[in-house]
Amino acid sequence: MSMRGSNWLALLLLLSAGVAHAEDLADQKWAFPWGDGARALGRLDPNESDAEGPASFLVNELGETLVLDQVGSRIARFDKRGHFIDSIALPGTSYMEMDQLPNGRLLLLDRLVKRTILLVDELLGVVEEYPVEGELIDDSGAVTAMFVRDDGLWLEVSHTYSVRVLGLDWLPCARVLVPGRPARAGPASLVARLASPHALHIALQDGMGRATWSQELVYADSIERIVWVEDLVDGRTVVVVHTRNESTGKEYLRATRLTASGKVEAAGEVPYVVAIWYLQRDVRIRRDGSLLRMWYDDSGVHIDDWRLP
Amino acid sequence: MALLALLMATQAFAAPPSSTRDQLICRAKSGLGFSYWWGGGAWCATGCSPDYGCGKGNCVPNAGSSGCPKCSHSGSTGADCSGYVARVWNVPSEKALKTNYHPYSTYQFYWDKSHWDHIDKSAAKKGDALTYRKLTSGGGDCANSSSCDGGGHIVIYESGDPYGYSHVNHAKGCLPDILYENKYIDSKYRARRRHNLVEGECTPGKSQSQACGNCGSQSRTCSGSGQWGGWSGCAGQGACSGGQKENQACGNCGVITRTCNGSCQWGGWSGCSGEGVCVAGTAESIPCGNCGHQTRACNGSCQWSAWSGCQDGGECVPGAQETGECGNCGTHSRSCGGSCQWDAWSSCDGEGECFAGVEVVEPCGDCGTRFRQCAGGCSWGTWSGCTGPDPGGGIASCETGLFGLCTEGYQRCADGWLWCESLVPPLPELCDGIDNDCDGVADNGLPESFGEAPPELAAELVDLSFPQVMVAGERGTVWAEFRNVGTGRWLKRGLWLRLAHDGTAASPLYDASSWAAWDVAAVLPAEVGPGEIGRFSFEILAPREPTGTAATSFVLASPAGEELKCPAPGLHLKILLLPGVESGVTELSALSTGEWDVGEADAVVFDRKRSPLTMEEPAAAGCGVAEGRVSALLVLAALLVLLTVLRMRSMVLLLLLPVLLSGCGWLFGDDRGFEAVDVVADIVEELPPPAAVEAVEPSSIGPLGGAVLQVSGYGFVPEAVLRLGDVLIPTTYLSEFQLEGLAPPLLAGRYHVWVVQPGGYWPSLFWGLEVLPLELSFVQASELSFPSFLAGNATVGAAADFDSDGRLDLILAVDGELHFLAGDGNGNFTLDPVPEGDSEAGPPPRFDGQPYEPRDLGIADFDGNGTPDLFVSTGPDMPYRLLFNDGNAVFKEVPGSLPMDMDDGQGIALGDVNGDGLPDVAVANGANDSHSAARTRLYVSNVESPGVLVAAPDFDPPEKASSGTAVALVDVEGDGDLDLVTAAREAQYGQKLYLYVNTPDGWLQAPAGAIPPISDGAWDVVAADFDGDKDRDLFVVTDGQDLLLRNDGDGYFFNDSTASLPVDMSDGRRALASDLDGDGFLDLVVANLGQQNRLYRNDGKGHFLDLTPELPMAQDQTNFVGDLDADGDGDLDLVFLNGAGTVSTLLLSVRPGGTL
Repeated sequence: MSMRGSNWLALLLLLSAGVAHAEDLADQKWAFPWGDGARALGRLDPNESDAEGPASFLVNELGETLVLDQVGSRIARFDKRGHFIDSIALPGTSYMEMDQLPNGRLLLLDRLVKRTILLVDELLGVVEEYPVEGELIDDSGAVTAMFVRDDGLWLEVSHTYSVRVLGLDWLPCARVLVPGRPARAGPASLVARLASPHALHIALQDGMGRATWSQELVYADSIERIVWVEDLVDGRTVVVVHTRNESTGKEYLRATRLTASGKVEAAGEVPYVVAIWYLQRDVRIRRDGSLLRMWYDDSGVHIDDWRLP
Repeated sequence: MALLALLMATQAFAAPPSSTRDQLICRAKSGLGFSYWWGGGAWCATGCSPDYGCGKGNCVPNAGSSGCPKCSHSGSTGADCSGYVARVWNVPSEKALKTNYHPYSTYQFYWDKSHWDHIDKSAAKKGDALTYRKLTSGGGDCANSSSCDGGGHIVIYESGDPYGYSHVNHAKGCLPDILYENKYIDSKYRARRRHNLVEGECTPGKSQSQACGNCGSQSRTCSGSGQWGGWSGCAGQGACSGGQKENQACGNCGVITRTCNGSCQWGGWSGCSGEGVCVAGTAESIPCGNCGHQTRACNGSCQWSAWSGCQDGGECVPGAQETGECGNCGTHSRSCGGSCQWDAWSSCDGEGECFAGVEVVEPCGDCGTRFRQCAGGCSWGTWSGCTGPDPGGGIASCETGLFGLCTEGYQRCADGWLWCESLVPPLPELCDGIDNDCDGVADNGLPESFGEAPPELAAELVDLSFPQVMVAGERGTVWAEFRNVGTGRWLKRGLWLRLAHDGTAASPLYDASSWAAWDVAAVLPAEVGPGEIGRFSFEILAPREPTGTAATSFVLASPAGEELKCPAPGLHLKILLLPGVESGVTELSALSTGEWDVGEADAVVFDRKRSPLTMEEPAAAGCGVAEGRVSALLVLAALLVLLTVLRMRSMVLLLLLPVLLSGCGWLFGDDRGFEAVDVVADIVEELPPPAAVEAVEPSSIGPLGGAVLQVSGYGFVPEAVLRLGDVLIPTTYLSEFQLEGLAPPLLAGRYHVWVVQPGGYWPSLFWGLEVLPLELSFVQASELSFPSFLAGNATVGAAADFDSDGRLDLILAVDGELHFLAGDGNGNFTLDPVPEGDSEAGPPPRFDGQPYEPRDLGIADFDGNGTPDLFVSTGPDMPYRLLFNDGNAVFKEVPGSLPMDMDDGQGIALGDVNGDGLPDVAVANGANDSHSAARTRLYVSNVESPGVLVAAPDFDPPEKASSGTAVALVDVEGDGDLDLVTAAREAQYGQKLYLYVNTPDGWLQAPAGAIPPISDGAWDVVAADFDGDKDRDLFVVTDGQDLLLRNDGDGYFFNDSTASLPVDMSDGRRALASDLDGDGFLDLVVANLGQQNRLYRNDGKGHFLDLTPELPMAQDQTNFVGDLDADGDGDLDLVFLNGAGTVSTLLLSVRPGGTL
């Protein structure tokens, strides 16, 4: 594998001690206790089955934080200071992902029980429900992410390709497929994969599958998984990976921001906390490229700012 | 114990049934969709697919639970996570899936190694399990089994994905059921691998067989390494392969078949099928056509081929007959012999005259050719038309023989004959001096349209006047105006109006005293340039022998006799001739003292009743004192005395007495009085009177007065006073033989001249003085005397002594405003002099509250202060105005003096309709969209309040006369009260003249038929006794022929226009009835728009002679005509008010020669 100069620079950045430690960068923003109260968030602690905590979260245009408290059959809303505002009731506990439309309505993904997408209005409640399985998606359990784009709603399947299931009017449409994840400036897409235990390959492809740019990110620690890949409105891209040091066993989430041409612009890391409860969505990328991350511990649910230099 | 340990050890390490990874995944897939069952492990499957026929089971979490075991399950299928994995792995031993079996929990999977190995998570493969155990309390990894008692989870790994996530199958929880999911397996998970996994493709020792060959079989065995061995040879085959078919040929290309059965043995042969119709390779032949033959062969498929063509045949069928054409549509025939060959043709019969299609051409005419073609029946067709090319390529010149522009032409060949086609075709004749229609005469046929340039001499008749009816021997005036529409100038006397040479007879209307020659009625009196108008006027004389209708046509011509051709250079007169009055005329003439020309002494000749001495009603019946008759009575008495004295004449007197007594009739106004006076005169002549009038010089004077009369005779005394008719005149006694008198203004006619003196005897000269009517002639006053108002629209005027200086003034309406013109009595008027006023306050406005948009003016002393006031009718949406004169021609309005009617005021009439001695006013109103009830208004003076007019209380015409233009107050019935006539320019309710009769019962619409219908719009109406029969007639000005409606005395009117008026089709606007010539009869002046104004002289009987040539020639837009003695010379002058762009004029009445 040959590396260009920019790649070496990237590697240097990643390995250098100059990269600020996660604790220096991430300022904890909100913490919500486990429990049943308005501000508390629910969890499942079963015996002989999968444990669960709040599956996902997002921050809206007003700076409010919405947490998918599916165990509590609700979406809990908090203000900028983390104060509880209100709850949006949900008709079940099986929702595993959430996103918001430009008109303020919410889309919720139930990929394992009802295998549907729910359209929820804050005032009207459940407005519509659409099936997930169908053309290009055989098993809803293989859905790995959902993206709200200008042209509709996309569902990623097995981290391999994405399918548009709702169109411009947020109604079911003729399904089309793109490799990887739909970029914001369509019809391009972001394609990422683990190239080796310590490297991942990412490329921005045009509508014909040709790479506009490609980049190989190498990490000293082994890569457990690619946590998140997303492009910003200005064309920059943020990549978040989960690494584990084989010697020390320490695990980190590492974020790298690439320029619109795929060059490494900034990088950062935060410690990864292993919890019993399954977390579907670890991070959210803001418009400016900064991140928010959610994590659990025995005290509760944490949502932190994570700013890259 | 050892045995137990051995057993346990044996049991703990007994291998589960071998299984491949695919088999493990297959079992995992078979469980998807079944419910979560805490502590359970059973489901139904068909191969790798779930079989929900045995039920899926159902898990329901307990209320508020945080997960199972706080849940409930129904049904007999399902599994929890560890039960699921145990059944997938088939551990510890094989058991039926649908039998519930839950041997292990996640605890065992996490800690034990009985039937599985602990492997690195990164080495996990398809079918391996991943599990975690939760610490009993708190977070973190499990250090030992005793600390990990907080539950756990286990999944079956299937595959990874590009992001490092895993595809797993697991019993996720109570609600999700057993499912397939992409999930991140984090570091808390541990990997486990089942024992006895077969990594190869088959289970060692297992055998497999398959069919081969013809119902044979072969087998193979799985080796110890899990790979299949090779197949054995195929044994036990049959004779054939099942389903195989076999065919054999039979018959004529037929086939028999047999089939191999399922036991790989042949079945029996079938019957021969599919045979052909012939034996392959054979052939056959048949005769055909004409002595020929054809063949065919049997092919390899035992089918006949098609017949070949008929070969070796003859040309015909033996015995056949054939007919053919020959020559010119002839025919011949032949027969076919036995050898199928034709015999020779017979001879050609029935030929035509020509060969079909042949065409012949021959010359025709003098330039053409014609052709004909032989038709299909070999007979000639008809000849074509004779045609030929134009000689010389169509541009050979020639003379057409036509005239004008059509003279030259090109030679043409038409129908084979040469002719000359003109270059310019005959066109409709135009007025351009060119023979457009090439008939030899230019501009003939009175073409109305002009060519590119009019001819030098061209004229268009623009106005014409002539009497429509004439009495035998009557003389009438004809005038015609022509516009010079040519390019040349008409010189004085350069154009003659002569008889149209459509005959050689003279005109029956020839007047030797007027015409220049028997065939030349008039010559052009003045030069006329192009575009200008010239007038021809002449007299015509009605023949004494009436012929019913006299018609004559005239045309303009040059002195050389060349007649003008176009566009309208002529005129046509058609006059109805009536017989004249018989005898009596001559006898009366003989009785008079002088010879009278019949043509002049109209009034005396035609109406003996009319006295030229007065225009008043004749004396009432009875022995009233008639003019002259007192004198005659005295003479008679003297005669009787004388005769008595003389005695000698007594018998004569006795004989004459009856005559005298019968002559008393004249005392009562009888005609015979004239005869009696004359007879007495004859008798008296024999005795010398004491005084006598022998001569009067001059014996004829004009009507204006001022002439000095020299009366000669004898017996005059100094006290003598001359009397003309019944008018005493200033007299100077010169001697007993001579008197001198100053004649006053008198009406035209004959007068007795009396010398009134003491002594009882008044000498006289009967009809000693003749007052002749004025010969009318007018000249235009200069602009210094009368403003022309050239740029203004002058519409109406009124004349009176407004400023009380004894001289007539004028008030004119120009451009909507009133203007005061102060007269000096000598024909000079000053426009808008500043009125006298307070030196400090300044002069007052002449007319209070202008502008008025005045339509008409009425003058009367409404307030009784002795000065003429002014009533003004105004335009639409403006009230009428009543302006009171302060005596200095300053006019003021007084509020409340007039009702506020806002009509579209038009003509005004003044009169006393109610007999209270105060002036009343009638106003005609025009059509006004906003005043649908526009109608004639009648205002009466308020007896209680001088100067105030109120609406006549009983005047409400039943029909509204809108579009009203003029009104007249006139006693049409002769009952002593004024009636009302309204004229309208548009017909409303079918009428353009409305008559309202003033009766004791109120105002009533005149009965039907009282007014005759008229076709043209009526613009003015003048009521007067035009025909001298003492009733009031009507003269109506229209935009066509003006009308004279004669009153029969009872208020019924008859249209006598044809007999009374000349032809006049101009667009009239206003009329003036005035005795312009002083003969006591009302003449007429008509103002016309854009055409010559008219002047008609009344002969006293309502018969009007055209004197228009006495007016200056003009085609002005005349709105108004009025009369006044502007120059104080005793005769009436005329004022014409014209529209903008034309000059308003004051025409002064002058004597011939232009003297005033």
